[in-house]
Amino acid sequence: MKRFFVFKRIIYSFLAVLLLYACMRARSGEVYTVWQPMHPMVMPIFFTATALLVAIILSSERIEYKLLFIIIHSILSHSFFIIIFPAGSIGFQQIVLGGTRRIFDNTVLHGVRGTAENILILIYKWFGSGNFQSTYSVMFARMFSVDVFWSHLLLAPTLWGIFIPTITFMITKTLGGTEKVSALAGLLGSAFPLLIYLGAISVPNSVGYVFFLGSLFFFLKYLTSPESKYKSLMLIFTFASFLSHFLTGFISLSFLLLALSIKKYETDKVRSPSVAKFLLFSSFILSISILPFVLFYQRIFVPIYTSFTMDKIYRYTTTELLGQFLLGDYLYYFPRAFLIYIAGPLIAFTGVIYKLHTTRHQKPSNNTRICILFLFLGFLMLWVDYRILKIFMMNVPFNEERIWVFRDLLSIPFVALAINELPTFLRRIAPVRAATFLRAHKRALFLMFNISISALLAGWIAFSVNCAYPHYSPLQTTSYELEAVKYVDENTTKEYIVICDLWISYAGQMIVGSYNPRAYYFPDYDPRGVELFIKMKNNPSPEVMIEAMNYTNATVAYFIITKEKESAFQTRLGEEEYNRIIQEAQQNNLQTYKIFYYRGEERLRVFYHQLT
Amino acid sequence: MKWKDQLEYIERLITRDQNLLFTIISLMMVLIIYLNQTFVYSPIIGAAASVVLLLINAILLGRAFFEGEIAFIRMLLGSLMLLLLLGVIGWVTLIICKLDVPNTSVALCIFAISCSTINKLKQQRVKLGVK
Repeated sequence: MKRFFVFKRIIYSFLAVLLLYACMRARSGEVYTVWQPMHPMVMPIFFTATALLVAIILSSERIEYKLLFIIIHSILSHSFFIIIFPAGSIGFQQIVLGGTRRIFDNTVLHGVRGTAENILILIYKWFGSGNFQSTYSVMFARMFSVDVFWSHLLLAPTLWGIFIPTITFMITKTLGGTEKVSALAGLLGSAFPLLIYLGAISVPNSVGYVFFLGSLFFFLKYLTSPESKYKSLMLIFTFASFLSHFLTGFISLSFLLLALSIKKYETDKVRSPSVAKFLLFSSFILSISILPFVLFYQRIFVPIYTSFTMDKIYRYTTTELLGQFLLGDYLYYFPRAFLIYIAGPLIAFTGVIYKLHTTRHQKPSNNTRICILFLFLGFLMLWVDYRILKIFMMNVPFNEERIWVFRDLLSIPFVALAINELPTFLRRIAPVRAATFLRAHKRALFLMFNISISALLAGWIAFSVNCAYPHYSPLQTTSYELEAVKYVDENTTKEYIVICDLWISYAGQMIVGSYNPRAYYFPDYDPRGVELFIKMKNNPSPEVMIEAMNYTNATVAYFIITKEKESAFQTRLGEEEYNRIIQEAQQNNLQTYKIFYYRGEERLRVFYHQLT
Repeated sequence: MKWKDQLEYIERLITRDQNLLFTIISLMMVLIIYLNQTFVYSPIIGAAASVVLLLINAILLGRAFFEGEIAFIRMLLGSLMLLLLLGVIGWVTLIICKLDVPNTSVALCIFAISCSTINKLKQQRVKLGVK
């Protein structure tokens, strides 16, 4: 038996290395999606590795090995962006890196945007602006002596890959799961496309979810254990969750309120049940209202005017309104994607209700029932909060679907518990003759169940990973765009400003930092940058570049254009326009600074103008 | 010796260290990180020193907070606590001043001393029989 375990460990390790190698081979300098350059064998290898891992989890292998392999698998499935793209997924994580870069280069004091005219706003900025995540990226970069680019991009996949399975394992154990079921829960985090995606991009919200799940574990421990340390730990984790991101912080705060009120309810319900129930209900309403009211009153600190509205209700038809109320944005998903997004939460919610039903006659002091009640209320709270934000509020400063991530995190342990209960449940509901057959062929059926569940779960996880990484994206930051911004920075001794499109701006901010007065790239939301780029596109002349220099008192200005081959999602300049701009720039005596090529073909050109 | 036993042996060695040898090793790792960042810039040295520093302190915190779990899970949960402590100390340093190389080293020293103190306090509580 021991040899068989060693054999399985070796095979899994081999498959994991093969998977990493196949992904690294797919690393490309010019790419749209992770699927485009990927070898067709990657997903079959992933499926096989996952099936083997499920088999290892369901076997009597030591728990240390199970967890170690789950962590490796989780890190791998969250690292496709960072392995395949030259600079991770394009977008917000690159802007966050821009802020982190300024901290790393010691060009800002007291964190990103660490100065303000008003102490209240200053405190708000300390807690916001991604300072907490930047702290990790900068500290790890210094500790490991690597560029902050790498520590930032690797931060979320690594933290998520290590801690989400570990905490889920602990939560499932607290809910009464065996070691096998808890380990299965550790793996099932990869069965939720939203969790895969959020764990693959390094944004403050991702780090926040890790701390939120940590706080959830300590809430459960607080409810079930008499040890006083768990009270302090849940408060500390709620604080860390808040430091990471306000959304995770306030949801943790709502859960904290729920945990405290359930604890109070448990002590008070014998003495005065009706008062205890009323207090629990009031706390539940209060915890639901925390997030909407926080969003409404955010206007005290920042000019974000989130407000309550009934307009959306009037805009929808009755069918649409009902659809939105029941399904939210799933209404617009393809049926396949809809199924994979909803499967886990639906199983989990059914599992919670079933557990609540089956434990209804247990002693009031039963710990599992308290935890399940707490998580059931948590589910309800998230369900109501999502509907309030989606239907009754406008100008919400984030995508309301982020609430689903909390729901998915809560669902993982229940999915594992439901899978574990499935054979017992089937045996219970099977007719007498079938039950006799099941008893007679117990061993063969157990083996069949294990094989089919391994294949089924592996298929589910592989399909989730397939859905999580977009199949349709703009061209990601290319290797030559990165090379160009690095070249410009390394070869310019004076202060400079760059006129460019949004995509070069992302690349520039990653390398020189956001709002760097020495090397200025207009941030994506600054209309002046867009205006200057359009002016330069229409009339590439030194006059526009001189106008740009006035914004930061720079003495050198660059104008960068990139060419993209015709594609379904064209974001850079087409060949015709690219050539026209070059021709006009040359007619206007604009000097070419450097040309960048990809596979022998011109892709990017840098023009410059210097004040004499 | 089995892997599990080895881990528990190392853990015992680190947590029951009366002469604060492992705290001194942690502080030496911080010094190596500082010198590496100032003069050498080697990722290999940085990674080696960081891994030692993180492992020692993850084990200390794991033992202090999650004694009832098995050694490997203790270490993982200790890493979670380490992440939290490291983040909070780093964040405070950032807000007070900035996270340059000397300040990062100071933050790491505070972090290593905090981990050692937490472990010592836990040991004292165990001796006194406080839960």
